[in-house]
Amino acid sequence: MPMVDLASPVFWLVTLIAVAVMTPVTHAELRKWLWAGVNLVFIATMLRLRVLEVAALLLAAHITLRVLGCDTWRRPVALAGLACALCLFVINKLPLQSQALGLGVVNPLLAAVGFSYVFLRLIDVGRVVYEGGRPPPDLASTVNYLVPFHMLAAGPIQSYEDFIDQPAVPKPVTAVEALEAVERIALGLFKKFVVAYIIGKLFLTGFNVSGPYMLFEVQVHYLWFYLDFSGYSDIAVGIGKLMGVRTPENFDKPYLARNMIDFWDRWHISLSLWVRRNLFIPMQLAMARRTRGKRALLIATVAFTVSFLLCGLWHGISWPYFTWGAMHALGLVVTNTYRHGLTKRLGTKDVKAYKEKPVYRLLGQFITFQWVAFSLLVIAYPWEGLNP
Amino acid sequence: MSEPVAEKNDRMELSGWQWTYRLLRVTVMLVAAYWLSRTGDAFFYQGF
Repeated sequence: MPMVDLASPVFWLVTLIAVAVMTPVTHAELRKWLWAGVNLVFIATMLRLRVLEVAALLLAAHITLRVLGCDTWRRPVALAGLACALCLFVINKLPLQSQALGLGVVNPLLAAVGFSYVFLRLIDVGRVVYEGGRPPPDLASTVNYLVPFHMLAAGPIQSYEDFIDQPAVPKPVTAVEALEAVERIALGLFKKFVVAYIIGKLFLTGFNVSGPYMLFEVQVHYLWFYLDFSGYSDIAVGIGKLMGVRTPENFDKPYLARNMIDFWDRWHISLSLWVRRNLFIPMQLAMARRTRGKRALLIATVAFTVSFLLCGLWHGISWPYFTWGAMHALGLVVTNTYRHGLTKRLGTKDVKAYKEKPVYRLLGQFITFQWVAFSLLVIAYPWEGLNP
Repeated sequence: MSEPVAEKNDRMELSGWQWTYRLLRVTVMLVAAYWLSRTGDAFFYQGF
């Protein structure tokens, strides 16, 4: 569980300081280092002197990325870096087991920085630098990309290319833009602390019910989860706008998705894009090379399945999360296969006409909503209560 | 001294009433969120 608390005055004090300190600065290098300082100060408010250990880990990551950008030692360093990151990820996800093995000493550091997200950013920047897509980041940029304070709680997961391509000194924020940013923050806080909170208090029982109410709670639980999660993203996007730091959008009315592929274009968009860049497309390309472009549907099926089983495990190393991943993989495979079959049968023009019929749109939206809602039930249900 | 054109245009995008309404809306949302977060249970994101 992340340690970042949006209800804490400390978070908002750091936000105010960040905006006040960074806004007037037009020197690119100074701005970068000020932001890195703000990010480390924020972590220090949670960890105190242990922020030095986090700084040491960030330095190690920076050196690793530098080596990845060179020709010699790239491959062994890449493998070693990936192995280390994976170990830290597993320690973060299994704190009790880590404690038992005497590895629990790093758990507070990993929780403070929301290591699940840092892990994904590490993979992204490592891949881009290894492939030569962009040069490795300097030290300040390593800090700013891996642990941006306003994205620690729950993302979004910015791509390294998007991060490094943004202007070093953004255009000054106009009064209207500042108002829009504050509105976005206020909306996020309202969604999370008012609407989601009230819905939770009034309707959610933690699934400690049975019968028809359970079906109702499944629907409301999805809604509650969306409001809570998207609220975090609204706050992050608003703060990013105030600071002049690019922060990607993460949600686009996912409750209106008409199939699972559409759903992942609307829900946790930054994660979906990460999976596409770092898992789905590399797997698809590797398999396509072996089959010389044949069996596209089978390749997509395998790529969806592996990607989303791993995505499930990223959320949590347990059977409920694995099952959640499997349900989403199944939904994606079914959607992709159906789409493929429909296009083959009707042709592209007639498929477009078919998709525009309201009855099919509504049916698709209903089925998708239910599939997602029940997949969330698998994670949220108190399975331990079933054991005698 | 005349105002820079960009600044003048920015202020012209929203009327006084629009500014007032939107700031009021922001205030209501922030006050409601603050009040519920203090009087309700502590609410942490049980996230990933």
